[in-house]
Amino acid sequence: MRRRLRVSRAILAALLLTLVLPGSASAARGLELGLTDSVYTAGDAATRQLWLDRTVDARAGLVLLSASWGGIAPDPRPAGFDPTDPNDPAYSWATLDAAVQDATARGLRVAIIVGHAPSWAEGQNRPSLEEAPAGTWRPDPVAVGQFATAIATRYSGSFSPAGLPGSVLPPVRVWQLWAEPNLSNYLTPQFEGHQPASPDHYRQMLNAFYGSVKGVSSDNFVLTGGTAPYGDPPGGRRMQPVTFWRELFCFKGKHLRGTKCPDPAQLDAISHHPINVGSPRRKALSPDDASTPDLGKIARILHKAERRGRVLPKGEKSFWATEIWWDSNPPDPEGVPEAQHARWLAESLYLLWRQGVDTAIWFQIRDAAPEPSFGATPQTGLFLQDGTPKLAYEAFRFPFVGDRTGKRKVRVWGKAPAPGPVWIQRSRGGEWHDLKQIEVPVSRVFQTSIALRGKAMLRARTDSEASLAWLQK
Amino acid sequence: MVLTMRRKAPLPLALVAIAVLVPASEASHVVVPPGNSQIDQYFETAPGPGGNNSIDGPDGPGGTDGADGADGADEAGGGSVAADAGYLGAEELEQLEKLGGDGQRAAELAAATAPEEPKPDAARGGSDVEAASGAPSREGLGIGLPLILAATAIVAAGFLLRQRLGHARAG
Repeated sequence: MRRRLRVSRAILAALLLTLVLPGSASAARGLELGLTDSVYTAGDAATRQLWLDRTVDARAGLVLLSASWGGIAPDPRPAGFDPTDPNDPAYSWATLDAAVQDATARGLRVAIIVGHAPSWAEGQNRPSLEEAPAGTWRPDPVAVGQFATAIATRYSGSFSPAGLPGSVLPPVRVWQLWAEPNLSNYLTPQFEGHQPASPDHYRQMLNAFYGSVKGVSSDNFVLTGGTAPYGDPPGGRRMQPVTFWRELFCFKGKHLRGTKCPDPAQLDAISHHPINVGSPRRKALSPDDASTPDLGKIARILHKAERRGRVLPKGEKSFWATEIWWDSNPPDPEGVPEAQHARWLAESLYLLWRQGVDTAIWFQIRDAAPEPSFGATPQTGLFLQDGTPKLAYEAFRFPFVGDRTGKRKVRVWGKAPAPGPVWIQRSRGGEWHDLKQIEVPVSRVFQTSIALRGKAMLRARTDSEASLAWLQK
Repeated sequence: MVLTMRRKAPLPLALVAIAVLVPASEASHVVVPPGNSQIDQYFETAPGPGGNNSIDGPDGPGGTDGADGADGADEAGGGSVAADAGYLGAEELEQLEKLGGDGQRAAELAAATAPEEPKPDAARGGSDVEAASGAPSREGLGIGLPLILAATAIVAAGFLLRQRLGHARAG
């Protein structure tokens, strides 16, 4: 009897506690935000540094820098060249060194994507440049591994470059191999006749890359190239991403029937580019394409590969989205209106996070100049070309989204500037009123539900700043 | 009865089949990310009734549904995304304006955004349902589709009526 009383009291106390304490955010899992832009590897130091400063202001934690293998390595290959030696005088590292140093000095985590083979590392029987753009034709996996040794050694955190005795380059721990390996723009051939060719070749490149990068430091993290969202039927120039992943992990058909897999893919994370032709909630029309809401199609393949030992090393792999964007208007007359651009940015982060993505990278920090035209160049930046911030800049700094889950219930999600209290507010009578207080965890990502009927204007607020307002229907 | 139906069914059935199949074959089209009409990597080809048929990009010779090179893609991506400017009422806008800078910004957001997709624009793909069901694009049948459907319905109704009358007389 006494015991029952004690239990009742404990339950009562727990209930009272939940009433008294502010709501806690249920989301402990984080979402790292990054940016990628060619301006980070600009030759002009002032320009590069200005935009890296703004990247920090935007609260990005990571920058993805592009390392063009064909630009760093000599071409043609000189006699006596040692491709594994980062101090070989034929290598040209100056621009990348400066970018890595400048980004690291600002506290940004650096990831490097390697792509574009020098001509001497391409495969035999090369077709025309029209059919296979420079640097894309069957890059030699052995040469990929050798370059990976050189670049991972250079940014191992203990490397002293020739000519600068005593100085040590900062470490880089995140390594990505190739951009969009399901597109002929970057890797050829995609098909041999109607049979997929690129996944098998890419797997060989990836495994050589993985072995070399991990050989330099087991702390290194290897990420696959991010697949482009849309493809063509067999024989086309673009392989559909779901087909690409199925083949990479040695599966066939929609039921993922296993095929021989003597050399399974080695990686720590896979990546996809959910670049949408419409809103972030718009699903791809084809079952083998994958836009933002479709990551489950790829995750399903990955999880089966994990269970069946078709991806190594054993264990759960993470999922990155290394390129997301929309063009905005202004400045591009065909882009999405600026406010919608901001809204879609925040909403895509939310949707990616909900699907298990742990790092999302927005392309780019500033708009490209419209040369030769808006249609041919990306105006996807958080800033206009002249440095004016867009609303997307604020959405990136403090993303906040509402998602109706019932007639009287809305899930709100966001990434706060810092751990601590956040108030969910509603606009009423021209004033913002607190609806709920939550305690944001260290990951800074929060998710909670509020009671809400009908449409309303919502936002999240900390002690010092507020998110953009979110119109909830 | 069943036998009679089978013998007489082909005409209405054929009309129904035409009504259903023709717009489906017209549905295949190319959609590009807004503002990137000349970038050939990221366009989406909507599958037609036989699956994805085009293997050429918007600049390629084949195109899709007559999308003629970059012009076709321009058309697909052209025009601004419709903004739901009238989404908030005057009273709500007034309330937001009272909120100062935040309210202005919220009003801007409200004016330019809405939780749903922008107004249906087949060239951009429209909403999920429209796009997935192959809603006719601007190359579609236009007024022809409702006319065919209406004609099919009238013929089918007439056929059924005749059947019933026939049975009634026989009975």
